[in-house]
Amino acid sequence: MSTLPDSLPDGARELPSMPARLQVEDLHVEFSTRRGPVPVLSGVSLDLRPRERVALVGESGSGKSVTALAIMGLLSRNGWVSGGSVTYAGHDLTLLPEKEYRKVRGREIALIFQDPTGSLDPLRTVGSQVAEAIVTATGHRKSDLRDQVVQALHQMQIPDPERRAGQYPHELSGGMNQRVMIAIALAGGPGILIADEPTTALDATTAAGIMDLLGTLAHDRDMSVLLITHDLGVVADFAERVELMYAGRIVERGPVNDIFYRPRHPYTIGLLGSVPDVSGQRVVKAIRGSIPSLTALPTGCVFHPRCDRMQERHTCREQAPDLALISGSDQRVACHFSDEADREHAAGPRQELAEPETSRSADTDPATHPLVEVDDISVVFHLKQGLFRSGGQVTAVDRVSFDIERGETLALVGESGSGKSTTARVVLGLQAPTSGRVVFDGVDLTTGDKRFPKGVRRRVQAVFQDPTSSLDPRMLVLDIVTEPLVVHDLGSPAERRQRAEEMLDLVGLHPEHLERKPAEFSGGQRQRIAIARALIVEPDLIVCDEPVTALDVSVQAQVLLMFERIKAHRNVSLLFIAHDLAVVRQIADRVAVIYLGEIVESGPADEVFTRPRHPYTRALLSAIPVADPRRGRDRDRIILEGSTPSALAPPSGCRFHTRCWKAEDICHTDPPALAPHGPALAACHFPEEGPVHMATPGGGSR
Amino acid sequence: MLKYIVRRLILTVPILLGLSILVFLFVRALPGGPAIALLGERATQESVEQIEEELGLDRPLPVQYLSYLRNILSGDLGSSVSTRRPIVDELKQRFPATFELAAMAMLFAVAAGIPLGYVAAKRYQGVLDNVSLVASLIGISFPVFFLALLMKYVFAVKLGWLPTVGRIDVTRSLEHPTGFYLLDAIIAGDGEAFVDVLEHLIMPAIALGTIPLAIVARITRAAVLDVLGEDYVRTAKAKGLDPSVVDRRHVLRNAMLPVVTVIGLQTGLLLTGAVLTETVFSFPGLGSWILNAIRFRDYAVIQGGILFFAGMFIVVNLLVDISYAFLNPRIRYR
Ligand code: SF4
Ligand code: SF4
Repeated sequence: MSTLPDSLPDGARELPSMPARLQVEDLHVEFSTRRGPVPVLSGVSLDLRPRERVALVGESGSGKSVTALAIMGLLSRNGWVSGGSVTYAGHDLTLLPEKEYRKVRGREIALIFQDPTGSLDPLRTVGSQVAEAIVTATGHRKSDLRDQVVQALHQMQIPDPERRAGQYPHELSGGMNQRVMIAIALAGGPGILIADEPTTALDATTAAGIMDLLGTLAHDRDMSVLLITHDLGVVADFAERVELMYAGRIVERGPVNDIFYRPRHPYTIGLLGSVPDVSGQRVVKAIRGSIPSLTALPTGCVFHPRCDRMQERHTCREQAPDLALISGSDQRVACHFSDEADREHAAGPRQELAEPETSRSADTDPATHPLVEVDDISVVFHLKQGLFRSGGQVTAVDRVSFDIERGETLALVGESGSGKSTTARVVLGLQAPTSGRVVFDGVDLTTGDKRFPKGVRRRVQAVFQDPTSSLDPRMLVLDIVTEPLVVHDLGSPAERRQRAEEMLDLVGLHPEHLERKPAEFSGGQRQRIAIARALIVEPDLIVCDEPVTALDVSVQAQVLLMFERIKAHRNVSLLFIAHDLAVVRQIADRVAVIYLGEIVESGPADEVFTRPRHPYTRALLSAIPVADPRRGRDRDRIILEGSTPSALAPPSGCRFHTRCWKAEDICHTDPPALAPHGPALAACHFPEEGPVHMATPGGGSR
Repeated sequence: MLKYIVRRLILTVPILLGLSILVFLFVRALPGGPAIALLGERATQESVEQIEEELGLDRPLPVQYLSYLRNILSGDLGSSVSTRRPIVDELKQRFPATFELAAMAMLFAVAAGIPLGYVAAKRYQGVLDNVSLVASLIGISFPVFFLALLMKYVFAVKLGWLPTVGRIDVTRSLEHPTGFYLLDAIIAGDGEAFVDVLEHLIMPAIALGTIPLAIVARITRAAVLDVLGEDYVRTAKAKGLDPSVVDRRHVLRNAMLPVVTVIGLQTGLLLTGAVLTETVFSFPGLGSWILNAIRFRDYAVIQGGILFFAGMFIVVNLLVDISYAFLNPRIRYR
């Protein structure tokens, strides 16, 4: 793999006179648009020292990925470096002729991306793509190239590398493909690896394994890593130093502990407050407003329209702050009033502890039945494969049962392919179950020819993951929001409008937004519109299928807070589908964890989060990166082996046994039943007993 | 891969059967039926009945269809009314002509269209890109027969560079064991004849190939632009690969997927275009034959011709699907 380190002209990798391997200085990048050039990076500086792990953190549009592409000289054709320098081994890369630049790519600096499957050529075997990288980096083709490829895949902990090498990207899971991408990136033995959101597209348990691998490789191969991410949890686990980006600028920089425990920029503080907390003890707060458009950046400090610290001071509006060193520390902050951070900390801790939950359990009247009873439903899909043979069947949902009480929020959590969305579709009446019943307020929805009476239709509403595709772009928000009223023939036009205004207010939008079209809103605002539409008919149940997955962290926090407000004000039940346990921590009353179509554990949220019984739940919990360096690095980590088996051929006995570290013989043969353990239910022969190791928020030792 | 091909082959059987039923019914549905079609509208009642009996038209439809099918399968498509020649013989003679013409036209379209589209994409929004956009719009909207006439006038009549009619100089003697003249010339080792046949082919092939050329160029351009924006192209560049290698190994191959589909469709449409081109250049292929048949209401020929054309269309599409699967591993495993 690292076959060429001596032949390189640099030699500068570790010279004391040049402490940084890579130095980005005052980098400006512009993109051409129809309305003229737009500044995407405005003076970004950063250093990467040998073996250092630096995280470049920002939300979408902050310019973090553009920074990576600019370093690699791979900006798309409408973008260009308009100022500054990128120095590597004494050369300014931005001045390098393309031909020389090519020698840097892959051999000196390598890059991996967010979508591993899309980053691999679909028409070539993964082995040939790794081989290509090896040949390009070494400059010659050795006779044992095949062995080199297998060896490289093996080093990425890809099981059965000989066979995998001959397969195409679509035959491998996302996690596997990311490992292949890493093998490609490391083929040239680079000194620097830039990882651009390497785990964002992956399931939590898979992502944890990838980050672990990256850490090991960086250490073993003496690499510096620039990790680009929006996920503060991943940062806390991985990075030594953090650079925070906002609107094409670095707004705060410092050692990871300083950033997490002594953040000074209002944006950093807000972002940290937005992160959902698995321990459930910290109240999530949101930053108001939304990320500014690059075509109309605010004057002065770009953050000022959203800043709580500014307090209408003119300096903020007129003068852009420098990234200034905080004396006596290694921290730099771009804020005129960064010294006020300490006072704010003293005035009120960033992480307020939540009130002891009293309203957690929904007020249920034992005399009546639950609002929704899902009773032993299964959904079997028959795969068609050609004209003459059937392609077998998939049991997407296997004998799933749960109840939802009035006013209660049930979170159904599972990774991709777990059957959680199919279950949601059954409850919504969009998918008929193969067997079992769904009873809504005493009405059986799954028998009889009219499966979903109109009265019930109104009382069950849905919110989906992608707000963009679920809103008709040609309609006004008013028409979108009032559509359900029209469908169900409720109210006069004037009344409908008034209801719509109330709903917008409830979801945090303004009445004047009614006259606009969806395209004028950001992703988070569109999701609010979709929720307003669901709420307007006063449903008893809203089925939310990954409603915040497509949103940025700070926006996610805003929307989750809005859900909480809705819960507090309306007696509505939520079925909240998510792949991320952390997201549901704050709003779920009860949690059900689903794996390969089966519920493996369910119970009150506090119980499931603090003493999960099922090994899979434990693994899921431990896989969630905690946005807290000390707590995150101290906690028990469980890294699952392999990936989720195919639902086409689920494992025998306990479906989790192929990945379970506690599996014994009985697990291979006997499927465990869902049995009560304390207030929760778990399906495991050897359930865990104690609480999970989850330190107090704020790292405890602050 | 082999499994896929076999499965596709099996799938064409019902399609071909359905097609034969359609063609069979088509002739039965003609005003007065095949008898009138054969005898002309002024036929007497008596002769109609006589013919119907002769042809077995008084039997029930399914029985008729089965015997019709049996005839087709044994290679008997009936005879032309006007020339009295068996249709199969005529097909044997004319198919190679049209095949050569269509193949040359497609070769021209692909050989010029793909590089043009590729260059246009690489010079995205440059002068060359815009020129090629305008040129291909003209190419697409230009009537084939008009282009054919124009070319004939300029290059054959005015400049006298190229022959005007036929497949080969009438004075030349060349054995045709295969009927594919280019092939025949090679077999005979007759270089002059080869050039002669080629000269006869050039103009019809260009006239016929212009629309597919324009379309192939546009699709190639769009596909290359799409692929250039793909993440895996970025990966290839990040490896430090030479841009020409990136294009060759990753861009072009992926971009060819939609192009192959379009080439297949265009080949089908080419058969229609051949009717006009062949007429202008008095090219003795299937197109001019069918046009004549339509003019003389030679229904037997029309029926046989349609069956043959449709059959060819299916075969071409089968080939396209197979080559698509060959290019694209994601299809292969389905
Ligand atoms: S400079 Fe002003 S507006 Fe900007 S972050 Fe500091 S206080 Fe807020
Ligand atoms: S039943 Fe066995 S394999 Fe399944 S989760 Fe429990 S210990 Fe693991």
